[in-house]
Amino acid sequence: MNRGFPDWIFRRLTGVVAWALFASVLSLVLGLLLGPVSVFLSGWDGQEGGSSPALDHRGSRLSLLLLGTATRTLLISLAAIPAGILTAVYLAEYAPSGARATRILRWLVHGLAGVPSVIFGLLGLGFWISVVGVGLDRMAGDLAAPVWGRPGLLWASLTLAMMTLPVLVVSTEQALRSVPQELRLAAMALGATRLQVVMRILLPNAWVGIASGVVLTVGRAFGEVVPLLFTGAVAETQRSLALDEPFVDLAHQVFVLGTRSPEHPSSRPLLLTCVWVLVFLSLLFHAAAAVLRSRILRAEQDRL
Amino acid sequence: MLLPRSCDLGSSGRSKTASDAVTSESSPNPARIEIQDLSFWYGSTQVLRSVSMVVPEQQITALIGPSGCGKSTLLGCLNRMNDLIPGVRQSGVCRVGGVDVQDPGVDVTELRRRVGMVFQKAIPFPQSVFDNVAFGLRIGGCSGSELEDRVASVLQRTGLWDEVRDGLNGNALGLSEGQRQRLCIARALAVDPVVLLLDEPACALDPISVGRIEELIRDLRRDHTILLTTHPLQQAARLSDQTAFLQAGELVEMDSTERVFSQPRDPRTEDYVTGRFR
Amino acid sequence: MALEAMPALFVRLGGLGTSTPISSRWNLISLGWGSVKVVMIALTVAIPIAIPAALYVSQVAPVRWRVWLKPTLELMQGVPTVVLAFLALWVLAPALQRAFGAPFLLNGMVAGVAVGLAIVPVMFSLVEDALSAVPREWFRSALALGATPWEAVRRVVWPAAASGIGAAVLLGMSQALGETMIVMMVSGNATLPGWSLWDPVRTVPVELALEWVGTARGSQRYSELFLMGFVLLGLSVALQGLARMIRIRNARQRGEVAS
Repeated sequence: MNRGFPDWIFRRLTGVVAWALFASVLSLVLGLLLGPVSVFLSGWDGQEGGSSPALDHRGSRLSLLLLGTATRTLLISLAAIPAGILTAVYLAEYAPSGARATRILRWLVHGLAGVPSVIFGLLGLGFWISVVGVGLDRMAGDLAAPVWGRPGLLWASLTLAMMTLPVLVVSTEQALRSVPQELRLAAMALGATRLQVVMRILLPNAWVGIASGVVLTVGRAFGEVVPLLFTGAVAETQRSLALDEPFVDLAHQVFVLGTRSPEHPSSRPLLLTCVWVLVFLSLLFHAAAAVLRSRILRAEQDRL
Repeated sequence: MLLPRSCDLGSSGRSKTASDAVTSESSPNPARIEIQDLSFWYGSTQVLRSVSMVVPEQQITALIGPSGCGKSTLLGCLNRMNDLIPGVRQSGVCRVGGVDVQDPGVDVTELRRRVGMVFQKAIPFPQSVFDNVAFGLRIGGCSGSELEDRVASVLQRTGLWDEVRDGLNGNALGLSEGQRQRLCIARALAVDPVVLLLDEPACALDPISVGRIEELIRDLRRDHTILLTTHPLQQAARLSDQTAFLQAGELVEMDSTERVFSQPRDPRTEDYVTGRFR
Repeated sequence: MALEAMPALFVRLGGLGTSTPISSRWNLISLGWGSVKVVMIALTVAIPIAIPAALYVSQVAPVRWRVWLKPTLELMQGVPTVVLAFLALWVLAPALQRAFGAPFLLNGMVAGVAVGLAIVPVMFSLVEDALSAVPREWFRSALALGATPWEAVRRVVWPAAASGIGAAVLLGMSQALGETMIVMMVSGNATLPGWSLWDPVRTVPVELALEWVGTARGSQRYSELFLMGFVLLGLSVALQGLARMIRIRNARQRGEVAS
């Protein structure tokens, strides 16, 4: 029957694309994870000669990078996560639902969630550094040799926190909303206050969704480079790891080395190492979030 | 292009041209259903045990029984909707118009056209009333004024025409529950089925809507073979010519409705019928 | 908390006091054109991959598979854009040049393809969500009426999910528009406008990223950049908002309660 033909094409075609994509993603991920490893194992084109000094150099560099990245991530998390969850709870529970202000706020948050990272970088520069930082310097009385009014770890972290905040709020709010209404109503009918409902019913039931959102957000912040370009990452070693100093960072390093590397093959090992660490950690975050989310998916399917 | 009215389920060894009439009936469309030793498993749970029955043409047969006795599953075997469920197993034979529905030569989509099913909960598509009814016709290549005529005629048949004629392009979700159920029946009728399977029609509807739908079903008996499942026993008593009582997957008793309700042979039937029949 | 975000917006708006010099129009146009080129290529690459894949996972593949198939395809979202950019630079660009013999190694086509591939996971995820959100009963009813799966998808599932799919495409577009990293590393960064897709380009976000820091506060260049940034911001928010509105409107239409 000629009605079966389009059906057949449909199945085959979509299947081909889907499985091709599947294979590509797997090979990409595996390639990124295994590639650098195999290069190291087989001994790279050691143009700098003698692996030991290079290893040492690389080792210390790497630890600096890791330190910088870890600190940054920690700061971002500290800034963004509590604020994000609180905001989401407010939006989901406390904000008067029909009010203009609430709708505007929600619209604002959702809108910010999609803004390109460049803009946030500029914001970091224009607001945190130029306004807050300079202001701090002014208060300290020494404008000529700015301490706070220049790119630094703190501003970079705050900028990225600002960038990831909206996304976190959106996903947390979604998780909170997906708690079945009946639970909330039942609790309230038993005389629970708003706060008790939040703490005892909403948060415990939604924690999987919230956790996956948090993990994803941190993972994203981890791999973002663009805002750092404006607010604090540099290519070379820095003096110390202080809040007001520029710092080095894994993702940024990949960028720098990636663009420079064709001329400097000696930086290739460092580049590959950075890539590997970055991919590994990022995927770890992502996989953790995916595991959490699959628990949700499974619960949904059971319910159906 | 109209779909042929004769029952032309292809089967191996026979050509599938429209003019081949496979049934032994003459030109009237309805076909009888014969079920032999049908057993069905969901995974390791057996839901139907060796059910054998004959559903005669141009009559209304009701399937009654407690929840979970396998009524809906039985319907699903007849139009092979159960094929969609993973992990199921089936043995035994179902024949519609003499043709085994599981026969590899049978085209499933054609089968489902011939053996129409209306689900328990009225589920119109999120499209206009017209589009809902026209769905099956459009798939068959029908279009234009012929399409409109056929939609109108089937809506008239189900008694919906007067109610929706001004709102044909309105969203079907805006109809009342009773109207929706009739719409789903119209939708199934539009493709000229030979058999109609109704899973708890008029369940959760108000009495007036129920009455309307029952009237409709009675009217449809002329040109179709109707097999329906129902919970309220009064409905079975009112509507059907034959009644089959299922319990725990087993066909306990099947006879004319009058006999089943007044002089049941099996004590289990009697328990069920008298216990609920208030 | 949320109030923190607001001052940030106002700073941007507050700085927009300067006029738009006409002489810089040409520059803006070529940059805009560069962005358009990249985004168009990206969409052309991403949509034919994301949508069929989503159709497969949502409608064709056995339901049990979805639990592991979907997250795996989304796994690529976990790779940072820098790394993708790096790969594009080292692997994709040479490969494309070898295959098509373009005059420049780094050009708009490479950037477009790379960005397109980068937005596939997100688009796939959203389209698949939209398709799977369509109640399964509609699909089954269509089958019970004698439709083949393809017909059921085409006539019932797809139209029902259409708004979600549209929203997904819009969001992908928004992401492609704002993508900075990949383009910066791979597009060749030339500000000259050209008709060929194989010319190096520079897109708006890249321009902002590279030029902002060195530009003096009150200068003409500054206000140019500011204007571009503002337009970029506005476009992103508009696309996002549009996508959201589409989804909300459709949810209401289907009789679900919209918040």
